[in-house]
Amino acid sequence: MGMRTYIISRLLLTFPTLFGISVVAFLTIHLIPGNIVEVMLGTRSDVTPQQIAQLNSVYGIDKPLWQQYATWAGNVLHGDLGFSLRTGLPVTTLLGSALQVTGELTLLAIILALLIALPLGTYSAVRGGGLGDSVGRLVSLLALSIPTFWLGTLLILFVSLYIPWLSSFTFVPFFDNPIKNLQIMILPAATLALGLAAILMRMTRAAMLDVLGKDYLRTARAKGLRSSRVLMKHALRNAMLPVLTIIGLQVGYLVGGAVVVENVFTLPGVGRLVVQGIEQRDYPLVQSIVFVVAALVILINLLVDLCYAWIDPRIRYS
Amino acid sequence: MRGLIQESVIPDEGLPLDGLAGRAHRGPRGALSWLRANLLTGFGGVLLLVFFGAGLLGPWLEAHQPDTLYPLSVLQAPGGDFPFGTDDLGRDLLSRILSGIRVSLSIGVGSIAVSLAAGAGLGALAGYFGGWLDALVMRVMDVIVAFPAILLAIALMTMLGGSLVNVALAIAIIYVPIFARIMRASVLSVRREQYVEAAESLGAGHARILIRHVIPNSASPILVQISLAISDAILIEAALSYLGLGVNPPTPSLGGLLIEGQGFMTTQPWMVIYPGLALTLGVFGFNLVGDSLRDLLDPRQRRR
Repeated sequence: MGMRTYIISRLLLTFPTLFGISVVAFLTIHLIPGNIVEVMLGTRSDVTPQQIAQLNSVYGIDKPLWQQYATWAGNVLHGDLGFSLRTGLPVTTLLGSALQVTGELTLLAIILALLIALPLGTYSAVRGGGLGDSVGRLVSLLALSIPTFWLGTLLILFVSLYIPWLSSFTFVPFFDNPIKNLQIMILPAATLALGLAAILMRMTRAAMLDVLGKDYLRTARAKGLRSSRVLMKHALRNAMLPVLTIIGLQVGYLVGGAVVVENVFTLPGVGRLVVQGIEQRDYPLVQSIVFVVAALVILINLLVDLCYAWIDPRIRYS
Repeated sequence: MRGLIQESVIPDEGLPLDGLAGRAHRGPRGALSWLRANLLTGFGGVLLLVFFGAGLLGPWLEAHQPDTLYPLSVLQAPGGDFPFGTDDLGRDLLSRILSGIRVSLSIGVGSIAVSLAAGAGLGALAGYFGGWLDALVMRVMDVIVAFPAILLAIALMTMLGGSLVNVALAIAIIYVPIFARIMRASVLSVRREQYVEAAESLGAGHARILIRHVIPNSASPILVQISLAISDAILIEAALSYLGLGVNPPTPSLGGLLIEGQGFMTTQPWMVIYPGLALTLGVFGFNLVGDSLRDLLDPRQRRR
């Protein structure tokens, strides 16, 4: 299969999944007891049945479910995600600014995780076996066992007691004041990074062990290259591919983690927006967020797959 | 939160099934020496025993009822009559943690049991019959798996409302595709085995072949994932409770206890430290045991 055919077939396979998630996002929200109009009116009793009927037709609730879905899906295709019930703002506006925060948080977490995982994973592969190995396994499994929100809570507690100047949590956008922004983002990013670092460390270790046994490394050493150079230039570079793939596969996990972390640190990201939306029963908002975030995760996975096929041509033939 | 479950490393067809079989013939004595060589696994096993023990024996260990109020001992520091202190309503934290372990465990085990049954069943049918059934089932699974787990759980909990059964159900739905994919891959390789062909030629029906031959022989890859899946399920439940979408109060899960304690963490830190420790250690036990189990089957991850 050539590159072009692979890309096309991979793209085509994405559409049924996108359709599927749109149906799931739509249905879960529409199966919640009570429709939008009832939620909006709450306990108000000064509304006549005619007015309710009028509202129902404005929001399209009087139509059959499949027609409501078709209208919504059509609007989404035109980039119109509707309006938030509580703020009256377009969902695209709310989501746009929230996605920037979540994106930055996720990116910082990936960078932090790599900074921790690459040296540790390489070290434990080179000094493999024995006590160091067991400690590495113990620590990485422990890191994966700590609930992110508890870790975040403990970090806030610790910082407010011992490093008070770090404990300001009023969000500032990166482009307004990068230093202040990073100062606020560092703790949430570290919280989110821990689990990923544990996964990446083990992946780095496994990939390095795999590469270290390869012939070309023996050749490199036989040529008399210094071992640090062999390690950095020949081994680590080749071991990076599976590590990067794992990052791609973990995007969904990271976004899920970000939802929780944002709520711990009250960052105005997507996770905070969706939980607020649920608390305020702002269902159009929740429905669009669920769909957009799932779609983004799918698209990122698609990109990772395509990059991977580009880097490693063997993929296309399997 | 699917950090540990690596369905992606399992190839679509053909699994190294002899990994487990090779060890099985060693018998119980062999298993014991294997355990001795795996101190960490043993440690994980002990943690699990304590966790399960605390959950199952909780009602007999509790010195107080988890929901009895002691208005004269509100927010007491650990010690004396209340080894782990009391909360803002004067309830004994130790008893509440014990009953929280019970709730977290029942959700973890219950949800994974349901998704295991559903996922294994669907995966086996898809892998065995192939064709349009396979395509249909697996595309639906693709859709479910496309959602970040927490986000799907949030959406489902909004729809279902917060009861113990609903939380377990939401988490079960998240795990169905993961088990289905693993089972399908395993069935695809097993159904080409000669004993399946032999059963077919003897005139056995599909149901008999599936239940007697294919499923038992394809089960190990999925069984080794159970422990890791339960640890994930417990963490997801905790995160849902934290976001206010978990089991409704007054039934406390470990995650619910943490959110109750959050407002008091600077002045009464024990309210967040003890439930968090219980949660982390329990999940750690499942992870240690689950990680070793997975090593048995996946030679690529095995330590050298």
